[in-house]
Amino acid sequence: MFSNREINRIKLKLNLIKKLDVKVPKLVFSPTQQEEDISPILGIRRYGPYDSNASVDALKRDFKGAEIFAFCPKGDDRVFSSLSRLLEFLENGYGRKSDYDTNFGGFRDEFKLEILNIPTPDEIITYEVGRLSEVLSEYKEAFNEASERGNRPIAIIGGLSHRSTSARREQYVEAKREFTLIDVPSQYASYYELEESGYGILYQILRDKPVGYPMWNFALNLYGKIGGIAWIVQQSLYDTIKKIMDLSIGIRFGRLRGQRGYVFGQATVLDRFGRLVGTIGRAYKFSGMVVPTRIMRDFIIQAIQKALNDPRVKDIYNRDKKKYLNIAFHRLNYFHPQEVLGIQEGLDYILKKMNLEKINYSLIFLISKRTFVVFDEVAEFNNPKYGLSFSINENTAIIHTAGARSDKDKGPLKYPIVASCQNLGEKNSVLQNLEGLCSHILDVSALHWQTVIPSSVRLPATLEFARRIANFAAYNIQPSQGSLLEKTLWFV
Amino acid sequence: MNVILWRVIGTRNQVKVNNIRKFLLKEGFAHVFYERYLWLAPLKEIENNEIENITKRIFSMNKEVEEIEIDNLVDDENWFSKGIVLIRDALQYALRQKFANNKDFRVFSRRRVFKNEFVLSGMSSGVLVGISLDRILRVDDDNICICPIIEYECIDSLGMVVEDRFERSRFISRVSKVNTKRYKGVLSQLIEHINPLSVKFSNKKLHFDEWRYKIERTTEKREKGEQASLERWLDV
Repeated sequence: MFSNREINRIKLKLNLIKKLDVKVPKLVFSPTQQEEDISPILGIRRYGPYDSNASVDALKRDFKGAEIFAFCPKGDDRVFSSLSRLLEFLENGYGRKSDYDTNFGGFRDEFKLEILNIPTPDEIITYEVGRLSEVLSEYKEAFNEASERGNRPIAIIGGLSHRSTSARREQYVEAKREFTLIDVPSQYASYYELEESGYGILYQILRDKPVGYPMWNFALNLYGKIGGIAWIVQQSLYDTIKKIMDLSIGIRFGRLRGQRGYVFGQATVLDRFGRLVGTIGRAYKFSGMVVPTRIMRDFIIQAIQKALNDPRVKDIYNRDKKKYLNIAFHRLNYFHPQEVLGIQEGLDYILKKMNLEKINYSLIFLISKRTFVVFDEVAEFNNPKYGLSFSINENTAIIHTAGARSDKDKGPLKYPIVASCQNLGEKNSVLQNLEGLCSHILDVSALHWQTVIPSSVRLPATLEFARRIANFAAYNIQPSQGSLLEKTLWFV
Repeated sequence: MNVILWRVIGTRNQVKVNNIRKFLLKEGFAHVFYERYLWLAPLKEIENNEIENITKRIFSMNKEVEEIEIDNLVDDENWFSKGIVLIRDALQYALRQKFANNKDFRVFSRRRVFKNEFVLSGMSSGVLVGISLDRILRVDDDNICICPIIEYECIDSLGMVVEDRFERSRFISRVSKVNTKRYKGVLSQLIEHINPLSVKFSNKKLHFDEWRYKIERTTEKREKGEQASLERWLDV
């Protein structure tokens, strides 16, 4: 909401500008994994997704497989035939066609699912745009039966809408709204054609373009949406492995469409394994640039209570008899003293209510707007490496959360983000130095689960997820409280 | 960075001229409204009574003008309320002055300078490449710097910015995905036309001439972070 102003807040201190020694996150696909640096495709292929290997009950996959239902608006042969081919690729795999392409061995084999039901073309369900709900009422029983068999139902909807344009957005919004209403995860597959080109996986498939990576991304999204965890990143802190960031909470506020004076707040909570354990979204009425203390207090209490009451988090905390908590708060704006007071009051309440001894917390504000450009004179194409970080003053660093994987990387320039920990080094802060701040931000940024291309997402998952959820909320699309969808990446 | 500003009692609502920013920049003044005052910084040499005349035109009445010396325009108290806005105006003025008779470049709002030549042409529009000097940061306790970045703009055949966001981003994305080396080359070329950039700022002069800060790349000896096994990690 107020991000442009934050850049002016930065103050460079010339004597403090230096390269930081930062720990780059390790994507973990198996408890027995040895490799420090492994790409998502290789990791999933070699080990399977993390939850298929987990030795601890709290992290084990709790479904056998997926049952896919495919939907397509009536009257468009291009969407129908490309959707049929997409389903075929999901079932039988896809072979690479060019240098910048990759093999995909089918959803079941690559993601080590016990069961995968994929419809044949004659089982694709067609519907009139605007009347999807009528069709869905006939399939509710089938979705329930899939769950009873220990599988997760998921819908793939082909359509003519694409996220980059508002044209025919109603198709996308209708699909998302109707499936979210009945607690069934859904994945949209776009066919968007322009005069000379087009967008979307269905367009690419129909034009015989290389789709190995898009197929992987599509499958990764499906897996996240049925509640799977493809990989985890240990949220251990830089200076000591004994310290864990128990919860990372991303907070975003945005103006509510069509309602003046109302702001929509969205908090996304990740646990110590980087799993999404809950989101809180609420509309508040307030004016001015600062979130009032009481609203911030209530918001924080709600978010933490929701996380600590989650059975998956509770199991671990009960087991450990934990008496202290480490929490990171992420935001795209500076935390105003009035907001900090609200957070402190919220934490005090949690401390007493949950009978804890101590809560340490770090207040981190991030700037994603393009600000600095770093040229690595040693690298062949000057591209800075993933993880490269610099301090620019006592509590602020610039971090390449996206970047090159080697000195020979010739990919496009990636801008670093700016991260500032407002209470860095203070007694109550989890983070005590800038190296710790950078490592933490890199860890949380590696948890996007939206793409198999490594180090390509700039913002931490906490804020990325909050943005996406807030976008859906603007269309009044939200899973019901306690719904299974809340535990999945339904919004990616 | 002590600087002399002129302070006039008056609010934005009392202003009698249209588009006061455009008006004052044309007259060579940076301005900001803060609390119940209008603060002015001349960006050129001024005559004795010029400030009084300008304020009379702004408010359609005589106003008392007070000269105030600000100890440090970049300290927290002054920077957010006055400094950043005045400096932005000064930069916009300096860029307009510098490229006033230069047909090869166009100065856009928000301190953006574009080369007047399509780097990509379409049927009815094209893409210009330019530089944004809108990221102004403070350095230590008494200085400022600009972080320049490359920007692209999609222009139609009449020289207007294409309004269709989808069309714009589609065109721009075709030329903007360049590696850092290429980016640096384009940025260097553009900056050669801009630097040195200087502007009078009341009793001071702002002067920008360097655009890179060198940090030595130390050896890539990265200590392997000790990884806890999952079981240990759970027991933490």
